Amino acid sequence: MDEFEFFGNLSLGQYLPGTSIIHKLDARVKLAGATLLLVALVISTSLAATLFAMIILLCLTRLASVPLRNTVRSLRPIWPFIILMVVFQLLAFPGSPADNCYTLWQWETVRLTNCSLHLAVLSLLRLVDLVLLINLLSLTTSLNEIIHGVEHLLRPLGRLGLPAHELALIVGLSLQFVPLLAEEAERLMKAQAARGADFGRGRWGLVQRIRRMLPLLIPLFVNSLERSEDLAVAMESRCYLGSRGRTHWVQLQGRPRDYVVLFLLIVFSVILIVAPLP
Amino acid sequence: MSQPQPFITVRSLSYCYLRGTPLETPALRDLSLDVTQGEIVGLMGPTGCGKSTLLQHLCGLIHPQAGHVWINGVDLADPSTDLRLIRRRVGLVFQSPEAQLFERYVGDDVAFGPRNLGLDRPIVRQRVKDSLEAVGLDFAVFKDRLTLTLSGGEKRRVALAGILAMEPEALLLDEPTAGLDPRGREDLLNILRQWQTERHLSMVISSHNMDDLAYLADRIYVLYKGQNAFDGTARAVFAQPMRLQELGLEAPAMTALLATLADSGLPVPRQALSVNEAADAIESLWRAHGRI
Amino acid sequence: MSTLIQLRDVSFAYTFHSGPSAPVLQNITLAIQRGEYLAILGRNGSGKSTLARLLNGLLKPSAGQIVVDGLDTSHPVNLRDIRQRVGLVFQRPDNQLIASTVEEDVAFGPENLGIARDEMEKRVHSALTAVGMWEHRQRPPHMLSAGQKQRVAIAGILSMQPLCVVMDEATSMLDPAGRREVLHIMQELNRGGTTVVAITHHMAEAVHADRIVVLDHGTLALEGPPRQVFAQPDQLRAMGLDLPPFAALAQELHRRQAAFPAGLLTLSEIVDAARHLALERVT
Repeated sequence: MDEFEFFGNLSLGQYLPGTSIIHKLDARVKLAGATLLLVALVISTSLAATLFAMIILLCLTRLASVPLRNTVRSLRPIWPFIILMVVFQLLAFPGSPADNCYTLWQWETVRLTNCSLHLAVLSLLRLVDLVLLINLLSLTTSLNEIIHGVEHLLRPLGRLGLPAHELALIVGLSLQFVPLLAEEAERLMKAQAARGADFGRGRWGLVQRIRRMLPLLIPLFVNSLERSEDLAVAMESRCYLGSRGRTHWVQLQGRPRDYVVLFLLIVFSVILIVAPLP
Repeated sequence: MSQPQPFITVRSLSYCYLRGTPLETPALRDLSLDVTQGEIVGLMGPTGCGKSTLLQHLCGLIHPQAGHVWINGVDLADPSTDLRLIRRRVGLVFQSPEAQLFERYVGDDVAFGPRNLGLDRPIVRQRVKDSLEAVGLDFAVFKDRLTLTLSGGEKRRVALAGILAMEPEALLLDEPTAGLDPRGREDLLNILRQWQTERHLSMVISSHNMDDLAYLADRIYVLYKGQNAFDGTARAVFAQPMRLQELGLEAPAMTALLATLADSGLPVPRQALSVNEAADAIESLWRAHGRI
Repeated sequence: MSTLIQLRDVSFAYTFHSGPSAPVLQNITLAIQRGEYLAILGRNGSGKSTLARLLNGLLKPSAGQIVVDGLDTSHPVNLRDIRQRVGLVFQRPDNQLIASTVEEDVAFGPENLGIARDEMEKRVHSALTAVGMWEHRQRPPHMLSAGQKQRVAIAGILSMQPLCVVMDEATSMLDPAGRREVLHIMQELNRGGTTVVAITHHMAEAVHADRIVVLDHGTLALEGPPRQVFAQPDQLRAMGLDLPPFAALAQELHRRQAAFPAGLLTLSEIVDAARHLALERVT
């Protein structure tokens, strides 16, 4: 009965396992490199460099054996916003003659200049690049790797008081328990439906629908609390006393290719930032 | 004397979870089953054999994907059947039903079902009273107790009362004695036995506990990987420990013992459903050998 | 044998804002010996789980003292050492597994103890092998069956190299096959010298114990070897418990025929005695 089955389709992250070189890169390099690139893309004003970045990212996506289909699909929901943004930038930022901006087209008080055209195209390319980058990262890096990578990267900040280990633990545990709680919610819905509760298909107003969900909330909440307590007790029983003095099973080892890739990413980011117009 | 009519009939039932996705898993394959009015049918099988999925079909939570499920003549496979009406006539008690209590007060939680049926307040109240008594809880004492303060055993009884209050014609139970201590289990089995006798409730009970089914079930279906493995009267099914073991199930304790005695060459029946039966069989053996 | 865990006149009540609860445990004195297989029986609400949590210092006694291998559980500085020596396996498999792969989870305990990486590898390997889950070491826990999850939980304790493993109703959510697997591991561990404390209301599990302790309303009601404890069915029933099925049959047979020996507990014992009585020649 599809009424209850949507929880089964819950998928977290879009990780597609694979054996490409990108999959095998150290998670820290991917995370740090992606962050650098992200910042560079946002800052850059060079059309040529941003276009070049797009080509590179497309090549990397192919290299990672990630079907382009996925990327196109992830752009689909935001097409309207992209179009809106482009039109808005075309018309709202004409710039002044002092910046070498001349009018290409005009209607009443609305002007389209070469500057606004440049801005609009740049924004479009930039957005596509960002989507490509994030997709590439999430499709080639499992959540587990991401969490460990982030924890390793933030560890030096631990000396400044940032609880990297605790944050990684919280995120990891939460992600693990979301499917368990979803299963629990499904079980609860079925049990309440068996007692005549109606979770029917949206014929009711929002208030009604919320009211029908109420019998689920309390048992679900109690269940989550129970699980948290059990987990805390289990962790304490295994001598968990916080991050001080802990050693680590997962050790990320940088290989030469990781350093090479990191170097290339840094260089490219710098180019992106300092490249002159256009 | 007319044959008792089947209350539930299942023919060639098939069901897959997440059909059409890469995670598709078959749960039931071409399964068939009958439950006549007033009988208790047991479902046995290793984990993953499809017991829970089958039970969810029988109370109208799931539409069959292939095959038929008739509940008192109504075909659940028919897309025009309103499953919610079936859910009112067949009550399903999930495993650990106490985990589903959500109202503040016991009385309100038991009343949830009857209220959903749209009954008037005096009738709802009467049903709550009757069903609490039926599970051995005093209405006056328990109706205003806070659900969170109940003991595990009390919570389970309240959950049962909640289903009984809907006055279903048939009761489906998924591992009803799981997690109960010996006294709790004994009490529950007696309650179920009593309901069958007094109310002529048909029941389908899925359990890993052989002794529960030996005590309660008239007939048993053994399932394996979503299909019928074999079935028969409780006695007949438990008389086949080898077949049970092949499927990864254990023979009930008394049966295993008598089978061992019989294998060693002594003339004893190969199975017993209870300690007393086994003792009777061994005593007869001694008598036959002139020992006593 | 020497005493591993000594409980002296231990009582426990939960403390709430509104004052203490009714006592959950009262005046428990118990000496758990090194290497023994102890079963703690009791109905739901008898205080068994609370007792489990007192054994590794998760809870502190309201009165009395608990000493684990010479360490007092009420001193916080001892807790890490106590919990390394006494490991607890809990009832719900899902809520004990922390990491995203089996081997990472089993390494959690040693990580907390600050064990070096190469030593950790050895421990993870031997723990997973002991429970038969080494081939599954890279799998995510949610893809395992309940029985497998419990075995991983046990491995997670074994990797800390404890002296004692306490199973708090660890088989109650398992199907018969899962239960058999876990019990088998427990027996193997005990044969290897680990102290095992099995807390359960599943009577048949206690038959193989060296000693049984029965809790009733928070007090120690019965204590002794299985044959002795199960020779008192009326008392057990009064406490909401029962006899394991073979013990029940043996008692019934003895009741009907005095010549049938008293105190038998297992299938093979009963079969042998029944055969003997049927076939013995009177000369």
